[in-house]
This record gives sequence, C-alpha cells and structure tokens, in this order.
Amino acid sequence: MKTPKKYSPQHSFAARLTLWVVLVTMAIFIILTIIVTRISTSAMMEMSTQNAQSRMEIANEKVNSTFMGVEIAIDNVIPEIEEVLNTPDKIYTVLTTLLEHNPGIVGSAVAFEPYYYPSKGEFFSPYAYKDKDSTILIKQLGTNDYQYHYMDWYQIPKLLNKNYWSEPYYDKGGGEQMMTTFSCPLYDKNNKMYAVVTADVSLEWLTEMIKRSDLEFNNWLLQSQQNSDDIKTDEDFLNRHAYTFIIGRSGTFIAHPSKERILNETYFVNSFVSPDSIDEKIGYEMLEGKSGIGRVTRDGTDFVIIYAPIERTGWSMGTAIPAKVVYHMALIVGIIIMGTMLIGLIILYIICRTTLRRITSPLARFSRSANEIAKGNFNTPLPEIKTKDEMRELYDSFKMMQTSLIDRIEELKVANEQKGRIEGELQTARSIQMSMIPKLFPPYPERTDIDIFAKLTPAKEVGGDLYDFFIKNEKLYLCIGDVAGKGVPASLLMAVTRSLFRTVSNHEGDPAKIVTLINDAMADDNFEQMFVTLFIAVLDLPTGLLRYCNAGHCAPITIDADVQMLPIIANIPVGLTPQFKYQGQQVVIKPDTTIFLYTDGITEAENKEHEMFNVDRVTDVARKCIMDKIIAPDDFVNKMEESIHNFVKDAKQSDDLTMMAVRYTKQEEKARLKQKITLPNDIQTIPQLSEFIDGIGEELGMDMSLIMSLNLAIEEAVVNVMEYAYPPGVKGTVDIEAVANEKRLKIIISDGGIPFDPTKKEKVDTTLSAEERPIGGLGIHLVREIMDSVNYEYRDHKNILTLRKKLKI
Amino acid sequence: MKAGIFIYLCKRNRNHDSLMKAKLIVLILLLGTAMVGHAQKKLVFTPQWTAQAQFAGFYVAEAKGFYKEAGLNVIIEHPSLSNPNINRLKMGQCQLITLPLVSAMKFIDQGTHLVNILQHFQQNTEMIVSHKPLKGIESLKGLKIGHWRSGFSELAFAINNTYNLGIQWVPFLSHINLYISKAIDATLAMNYNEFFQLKMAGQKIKEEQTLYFRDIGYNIPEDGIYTTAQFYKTHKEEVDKFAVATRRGWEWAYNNPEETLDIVMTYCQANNVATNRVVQGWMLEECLNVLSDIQTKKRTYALDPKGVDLANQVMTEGLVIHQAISYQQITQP
Repeated sequence: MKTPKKYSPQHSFAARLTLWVVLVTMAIFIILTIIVTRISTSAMMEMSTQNAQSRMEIANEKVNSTFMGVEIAIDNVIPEIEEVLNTPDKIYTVLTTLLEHNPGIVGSAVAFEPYYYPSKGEFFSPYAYKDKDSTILIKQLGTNDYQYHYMDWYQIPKLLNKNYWSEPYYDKGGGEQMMTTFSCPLYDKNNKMYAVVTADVSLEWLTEMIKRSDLEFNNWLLQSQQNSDDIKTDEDFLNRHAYTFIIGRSGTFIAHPSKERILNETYFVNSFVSPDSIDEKIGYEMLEGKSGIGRVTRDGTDFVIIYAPIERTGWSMGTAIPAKVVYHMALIVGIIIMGTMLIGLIILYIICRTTLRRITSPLARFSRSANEIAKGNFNTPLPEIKTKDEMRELYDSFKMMQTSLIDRIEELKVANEQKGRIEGELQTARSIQMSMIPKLFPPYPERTDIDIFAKLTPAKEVGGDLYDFFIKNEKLYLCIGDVAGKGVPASLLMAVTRSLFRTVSNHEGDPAKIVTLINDAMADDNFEQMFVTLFIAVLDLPTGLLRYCNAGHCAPITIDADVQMLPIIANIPVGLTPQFKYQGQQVVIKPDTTIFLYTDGITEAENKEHEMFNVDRVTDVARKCIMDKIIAPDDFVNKMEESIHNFVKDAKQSDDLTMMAVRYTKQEEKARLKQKITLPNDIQTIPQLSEFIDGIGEELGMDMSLIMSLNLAIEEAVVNVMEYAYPPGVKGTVDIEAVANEKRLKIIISDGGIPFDPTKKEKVDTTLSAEERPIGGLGIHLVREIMDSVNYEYRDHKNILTLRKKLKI
Repeated sequence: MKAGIFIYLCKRNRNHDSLMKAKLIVLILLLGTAMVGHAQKKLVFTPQWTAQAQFAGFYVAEAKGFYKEAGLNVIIEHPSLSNPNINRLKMGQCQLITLPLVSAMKFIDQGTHLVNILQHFQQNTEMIVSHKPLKGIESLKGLKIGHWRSGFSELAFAINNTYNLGIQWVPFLSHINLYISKAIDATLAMNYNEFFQLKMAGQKIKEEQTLYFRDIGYNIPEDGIYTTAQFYKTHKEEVDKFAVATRRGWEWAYNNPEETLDIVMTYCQANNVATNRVVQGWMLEECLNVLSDIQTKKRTYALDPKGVDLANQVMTEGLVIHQAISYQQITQP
C-alpha cells in the first residue's frame, strides 16, 4: 500500500490557519491604520491650524498693544510740543523726555513743513534717538541729503491727513535695526498741517517673538526639543519647519525666517516665478486684510498657510506649515500603530501557532494511526485524548471506525471465502452444464447423411441456453432453447428442460407432443414464473421429413441454394401455461440443406451503438457462406460467430450465444430390390406375406435363419396392423413394401386404419408366463429384437411403420 | 569690511553658483585696489539711480575689466536718492553720468552744457500707472500723480503743460508706497522698475490702468551717457574709451544675460539695495530690450536725431525748455 505523501510543515493545518488568522488580522489592522492615519492627519491639520491661529492672535495682540502704546504716547506728547512751538529748540527736550518714558520708542522727531521757522531754513526736524547703548542723542534731521519732506513717513500722513504707520525699513544710520515709524500730522488753528510728529519703533522684538513662537510651534509639531541655536534658517529649514511671516502693505516681507527676504522680497515673487493662482490669491487677501487658510507650493514645498491681518498697521501675518510636517505627525501615529500591530501580530502568530499545534497535534497522530490501520494493523493504538471537544469526537469516530473495520474485514473474509466457493461451484456448474450438451463434434462421424456442429457461449459463468440432439430409429431429434434469465437459476431450468427433452423424446416422436409434455411438466409448480423458449424438431433421416414445434423461439433458417426462414407457428414459451396444446409443423428437407438453429443472443447481439445484429444479418452471413461455399456446419457456425464478433467489437456480451447447424446430406443409393404387396386385413392372407418375404430373402441372398427371423418380425407387425388398425368388421388393406440397397433392407407397412402406434406398446415382460402377458405385446417385442430399428409415423391418414435391417455383406 | 561683504554675499547666494559670485567680488575688489595705484586719473561715473539692472552694461564693463583694458580707472559711484547725479557732475564729484534725453536737454536748457557720448536706451519706458482705468491723456486731468523727486519727469511735465491737464504733481524719492497707500491717484513709473515693483507688491494692475508714453507718440530715447562739454574737450580720449568700453559692456550683457544678472546682484548687494533677483531679472530683460531701436531692431548706441527732434518738439511745446536744442549742441562739445 502506498503511504500518503507527507505534507511540508508550512502546509500544515495549524500553519495555514495561523497564516489566515494573521493575514485577516493584518488586513483589519492595515485598514484601521489607514483610517486612523487619515483621521489623525485631519486632526493634526486642525490642531496645527488652531495652534497657528492662536499664536497669531497672541502676536497680533502684542503688536496691537505695543503700537497702541506708541500711538498713545505720541498723542500725549503733542500738547507738550504745541506748548513749546514758540521755542522750537525745546522740542528736543520734549522728545528726549518722550524717549525716556517710552522704552519702545527708539527715536522721535517733529518734522516741520519747509520754512515753518524761517530762521531754521527749509529743513527743521528736531530728532531725539537712542544709540546702540540706549543713550538718548538729539540732532536736526533734515538736510539736503535727507530731504524728509519727500519721505513716506512725512508725505503719506500729510497727503492722507491721518496717522500712518510706515512700511518697515532698515535703519542704516542709527540702531542698525529694522524699524517702523508712526507719523502723526499736526495742524494749526487753520487746520493746516505744519508738522509731523513721529515715533520710531524697533521691530527687533517682533522678530524675536516670532522666532521664539516658531521654535515652540516646531517643537510641538515635530515633537522635538530644539532651541534657537540648533535651527539654521537655510533653504532646507523652509522645507522642514513651520514658520511665521509678516508682510507689509506692499507685500514686502517684514518677518521671515530667511533674513535675505526681509525688506528685499515681496510675497508675490514666488507666484511670479512659479505661477500659482491660489498663492497669488492668498497674497491679495492678506493685503486686503482678510483671514483664511490655503494650501500652496512655495519654495518647492507644499505648505498650508494660515493668515490673518494685523489691523493696526495694515500688515498681515501668516503661518506656513509644511504639509509633510503634518503628515509626518500622522505618519508617526501610523508608525506607532503599525509597530504595535506588528508586535501584536508576532504575538498572535506565536500564540496561534503554539495553540493550534497543541490542539491539532492529535491529528498527526490520528494520521499515523490511520496509516497503520491502512496497512492492516487494525489494532493500532489511537492517540490518547483527554479533552472533551471535537478531538474527542474524532477519537470516538476513529475508534468506532477501527472496531467496524475489524468486524467488516472479518465479514469480508467470510464473504470472500463464500464467494470463492460460489465461484468454484459456478465453475463446476458450468462444467456440468456444458457436459449436458453434446460437445463432441462431429457427433456421427460414421454417418454420411448428417453432420452437426453446435456452439454455446454463455454470457455469464453459467447460461440459460441449451441445445441437444440425438438419433434414434433413424430420426434425428433436435432441440434448442433459451431460458428466460441468466445465471444459476437459468442454468438449472436449462438442465431440467434438457432432461425433460431427453426423457420425453425417448418415447415420443412428435415434436408438438414432446413440447406439450415438457410444458406440462414445467408449468406445474412454476411459482417463479420462469419459462423457456424451445424449438424441437425431429428429422426423419431416410426421408428428410422435418417435423417440428416452435415454442416462442427464433425461427431457424434453412440454407440450400437459397436462404429461407422456416415457417413457424407462434406458440407460447414453455413453462407458463399448463395444458397448453402446442401445434407442430412439418416440412421436407431436401438433401444438401443446412438447418441453422440459434437463440436470440445471436439476433440481439449489440454493438456499442446499441444496434442489433438481427435476423437480416444472420441471413446475409448465410448467403455469403453460400457464395463462399462454406457448407460444413462447423465452418458455417464459426463464420457466423466471427461475423457477430466483428459486429459487436468490444461491446460486452449481454446474452448467451447458441448456434447449431445441421447439414442434411442424404444420398439416394440405388435400390437393389423394390417389391410391394397389398393384403386385406385378414390374417388368412399371412401365407402370402411369408411367401413374399421368403422371395425377398432369397433374392437378397439371406441365410435361412435370417429369413425366418425376418419373416417372424414382419408377420408379427402385419398381424398387429390387421388386428388393430381397423375396427372389427371393417375391411381394409395393408401395404407391405420392401426396398433394399446394398446395405440395408427397409420394410414399410402402411394402412389407412385408425392411428395406432405399435411402438408405444409396453415392452413385454418376458419374465411372465404366456398367459400373463397382454395380447400383442410380444409381437412388437419380437419386431424390436429382430429388426435394427422400428419407426412409426402417422402421415397422410396412414399409419406407416418402417422396419430396417442391415444386410450382411 | 571687504571680507565681510564677501562672506555675506556668499551666504546670500540662494540659487546660483556662489563661487562665481565670489570670483566677481574678488575681481571688483582687486580692480579697486589696482586702480589706487594706477597712473591715470580716476574717472568717476555716477548713474542716475541706485544700483540696479538699469546700469548692467556699466557693471559688466567694470567687472569684466573692459574699462581696465581700455586703460581707464573707472569708479562707479551711485547717487543718493535726494541728491541727483547732475549735482555731483556740477560739483566735480563725478565726470560721467547717465540721464534720460529729456533730463539732459532740460539741464542744457538751464545752462549746463552736457554732451551725449553714448545713447544706449533707444526707446522710452516711462508710463503712468493709475488706480482707476485711463482712457487716453484726458483721463489724467486733475489727478494727483507722483513723480521722481530727482528728475526724469520732464516728459510728463511737458505733456501736462501741452494738454493743460492740471495734474497735481507729488514728488517722491523712490518708494512706491505713496501709490500703494493711495495717497496719490497715479504715479509715474518705469516699466522695468516701479511698474514691476507695483506688481510684485500685489497691485492688480490691468492694462487699462497703464499709459505708456511711447504708445501715445512720445517714444523719446531715454538713458544716454553725458559729460560736461568742458571735460569732454580736455579728456576726449578717455571719454571716448569709456563710451567704447561701456558699449562693449552692454553687448556682453545682451549676450550673457544670466551672468550679467549675477553681476548686477553683486552690485545691488554691495550697495545695500533692497531688492531681489526676480526684480532685477525683470529689469535686466526690459533694459536689454530697449537697447534696440524699436523699428530697426538694431543696437546703435547712437543718439537718433529724430529722437532729439521729437524731444525738442515736446519739451518746447510743454514749456520745459525755452528753445530747441540742436543735435550738434547735444552731441558736440
């Protein structure tokens, strides 16, 4: 027995189940991770935006409060200035005091209109300012090289008639720092502007505040702990960090991590170099003092920009957050989840694998046990199962299977033994069955007038077909039949039929009667309703007269110069209806005729296309045999069998094949003697008979003893006819014809009396005394003893008794 | 200090080869050093504005050593915004200046005999940018319009007078904040400078808000190099060499705009001009365009007599000059 192929460990049930559990779990985790990452991205964006907005609000508040403080300080100083207008040089003192009390103001001037003080000339602008050491210095600001009347801080408030915060600028001559100037125009009683009072405010604190705020924001965003010294505000910085920027009313950067852009570049340079309508729109909205959020690409980086106005100055503040920083946070969340998931999956894998291995380990042992059982070791121990689960059920099932297998194997052994015996018996039955039918061919080698060949090929070990023949009193008894069904029952019925044929035909020469008797015998107690089709014929060899009776069997064919179907009466098969009177038929067979008898296994032989061989093919084969001069019965039967095999090819034989060919070749020998005498039915004419016989004996050269014996036998037969053929008082005649050839003498005694078969007279019990024996019985006995054969038939309303005697040559 | 500028410039290089710029700076410094010991008297050139791409040809001539090759010791000194270069010329602080033709003609009319030694800008780039749409010259009536305090506005004044527009002129030094703050209705602008600055400042300027003088028949050539007749007479050879070397500088700039921009940026940075590469790039492109005659497309570097005639017509009609100035008068000492 082939051992089942061992599976690899990775294909084990535990491995596959583990893999599936892990894969499904992983898929769920991945989906969850994607969802969580997306949500966290959105949340991070929201948080970042809120944080940025919050920081900008704080910065805005700081700018507002600082600048408002400056505005208030200037407001407060204006009355003091107006008080000292008549002593213009005192303005320096006022401004110095202003600077002393307002640390946020690094410089302040009162710039007068040209020639306001004719003595001071075109330019008069007292100015107090703080140097790098915060020492307050004073100077007159206006010169030919510094024509302040055309400066923005002077001109714009003058033209607009309102206070003005200048665009930030870099103070080159003073504190070397970025500043903005608050300008407030002063008007005289006629509402004519005569001067502009200014306050310079350093923006260094704003830059520092933004820098500090950006650091905190980035540390929060990037989850890092950098300090300002760690950050290098290079190009790469802009790609990796969030930053705050402020633009002035002209879009110029006032605050930006990239110092070179401050006061040198406007917000719109980027969208000019890389056209971006959204970026441009954000710039416009910032200049218009609007708030909002937008996503743009600046400096090659995808940014989210949150912007809001600094209303007091008309500037706008924005925070640019690199999208990837936000995604970075989400990515960190995702990585944490993925990491947790990975660890979880490894743990899950280990637990699953271990647990499943432990749970399923009995399966492998069950498998080994099953292999052992398969090898025939039915008592192989099964793995011990202590749990009360499916494994226990499997164990119980295995145990039951094991027990059942042992029982079944035992039963199988018995059954096999029985089968072997039955097969042996069937083989024996076949031998017996085959022994019942003649199988020695040619059966009558010494005869020239008849040749027979038959063949029975059963579909199973034993079949239901039969054939039989024998010669008695120069009559050939033929029988072919087919029992309904196959196998042993059919073969048994076949054996019964064959025995009945032999028994009945032994004392009955009429085929119809033979069939009727067989039917009566079989129909009684036929509870199984089994039946047999029969064709029984008796061929009178000397005359070629064929008498036959068909009981539901196939019509035989006769083959001479042509092929003809033997006409048949459709009697019912034998065994079905008791007391059924079968009708017989007769026909004279010409010499050199072959009678072919067969069963329906021949005509109903099927090929794979379920076509039947049928009668037409049988007759076709027969005609071909005529053409091919295949006339010997064995050749004919073999040819027919070959044709059938060629027809059915590989199709399974479904029915018994039985064929019998009888070749009748009687040749008339030249008669040496032919004499006839007709006597009345009067025993007084017996002497004439004796004289007739003596004459024949002498002519044939018989010795006296044979002539006496012959005389005795013929006299006895004729007297028998004279006494019984006609009723008492009825006159009739008896014809005695003698025909002899070189071999045989034939005496034919015929009369027109009532049918009477003397051969059916019981044989005389010679042990009885003469008084005890019945009348006449001894005569027939004498005839049988003397003659070689005694044959009776009633034909053409005549009783014909034929006696034959071989002549000694 | 020089080393400091060098390092500073190196750090500022965002998009370009820092090595290239460093070389240029070294070259400039070396040239300066070399000139100290040069036997010839130094020649001071003062353009009409602070450092920017408008003077690219001069920077190139100096940076690429064209002046030195001509045997000149040229010093480029920019003016302050409130003190025009004509003042420096008059005071002998410089010998060579650039001026728009109309400004030069006004100064000649006022008695300063200037001589044009090279006319590099052949087209007019001046324009008016307005907050409100302009429908021809008439739209300018009564508007408050900004103009440069330091000059270059003579053509606009002449048009104002010619058409009696009653424009209220508001002088400004350099910034565009007057316009942005809406303290004025409109402003004079150079298309290569202020106009682009306004756009970069987020001003949504539509075509109908602009009025180019060249489009209304005043395509008067702009920048040319001027010196006093006196100086030209005494230093003709040096002045001519300066003109030739400068022309060579502009040609080189025309053919090498990218490297020229690098040079321009080094001059801007060295002079602490608040600008950026994009603004200067735009300006250089526009200035290189106006080197060519609008019709012949040729760069002649010569003052077109027709341009002088047109200027005379406009300036006299507009009462900016008292009488016409002949072509010889402006080109001959």
